[in-house]
Amino acid sequence: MQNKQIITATLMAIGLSAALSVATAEDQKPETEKCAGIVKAGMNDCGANGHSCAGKAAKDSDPAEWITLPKGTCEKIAGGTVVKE
Amino acid sequence: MPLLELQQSLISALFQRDQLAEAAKLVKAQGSLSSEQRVGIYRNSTHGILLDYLESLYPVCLDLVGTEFFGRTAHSFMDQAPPTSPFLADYGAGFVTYLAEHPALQDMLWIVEVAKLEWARHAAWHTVNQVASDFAQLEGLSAAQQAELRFQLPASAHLISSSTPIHSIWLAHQEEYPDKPRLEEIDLQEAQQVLIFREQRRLHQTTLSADDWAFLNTLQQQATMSELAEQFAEQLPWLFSVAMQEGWIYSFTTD
Repeated sequence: MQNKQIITATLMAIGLSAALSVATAEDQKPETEKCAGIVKAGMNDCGANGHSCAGKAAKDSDPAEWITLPKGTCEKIAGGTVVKE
Repeated sequence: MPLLELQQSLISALFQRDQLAEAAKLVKAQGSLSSEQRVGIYRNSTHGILLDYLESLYPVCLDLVGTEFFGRTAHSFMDQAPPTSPFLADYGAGFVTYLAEHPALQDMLWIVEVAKLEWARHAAWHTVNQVASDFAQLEGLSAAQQAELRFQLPASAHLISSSTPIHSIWLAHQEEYPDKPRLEEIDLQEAQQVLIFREQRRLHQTTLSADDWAFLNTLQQQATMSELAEQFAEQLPWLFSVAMQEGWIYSFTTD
């Protein structure tokens, strides 16, 4: 195969794979919500409650600490409150 | 005494034990604590935090060499190479070189290879997000532009070629893998090529075939499409297909 043919075939392969991965990424992207009040100490997702980052929650089930969950899960958990963005 | 000198004196005391007495001259004694003991509290607490941090950065190395050796080595590393950036996550890359030069590890340099892998995981995790190219735009390029295309791996990508099976050793130390290999069954002479990169909040770590390794390495050296076609010939479309689907290629440039 000539270089030119190889390049054409490669660009087709890239185009197809790109289209495929976009479709998969869209299929897989779940909707999420922040859920507060149910987190174990040290297992929170990110900043709140006077500290800066993930993993800093100091006690279990602190109402100000949250983790990210698939949408609709939070209301099914005892003590869980959806954090409004 | 100017503030800067005062701060430098305290920093010296934190990372050089023999400077502790000098810094203590600037500090009052209180209650049952001497001024040296009071400065020592800062030294111990700084070292303690950095030790926790290094242990979390190199957990497999910690398992391999044991808490005592790791602790001793980490403390002397801190004194030799204290942090220079205010961002803690920047600290610890030099620990790999420090281990590589450690006399006790000269017959076990495969442990240093594992440390390289652990640092790459950490560095990949902390890489700033980048914008992915829209590959649909490739359609509108002229033949000349197509030949000059260059492709980029994710900015977080680390390609490691190791003379030891670092991926398998790392896996053997992960609790959550039920089918993980047992360390004693791993052949330490087996070479492995590993790619590490971050996609959103997920860190990928995978071994590469010799072909994929050569391809990604050439891509990372910014070879043009025409050079790639020359080097990989008929294999090229397939190599790209796999790399695109695995998320190994993130963007392209036509300049």
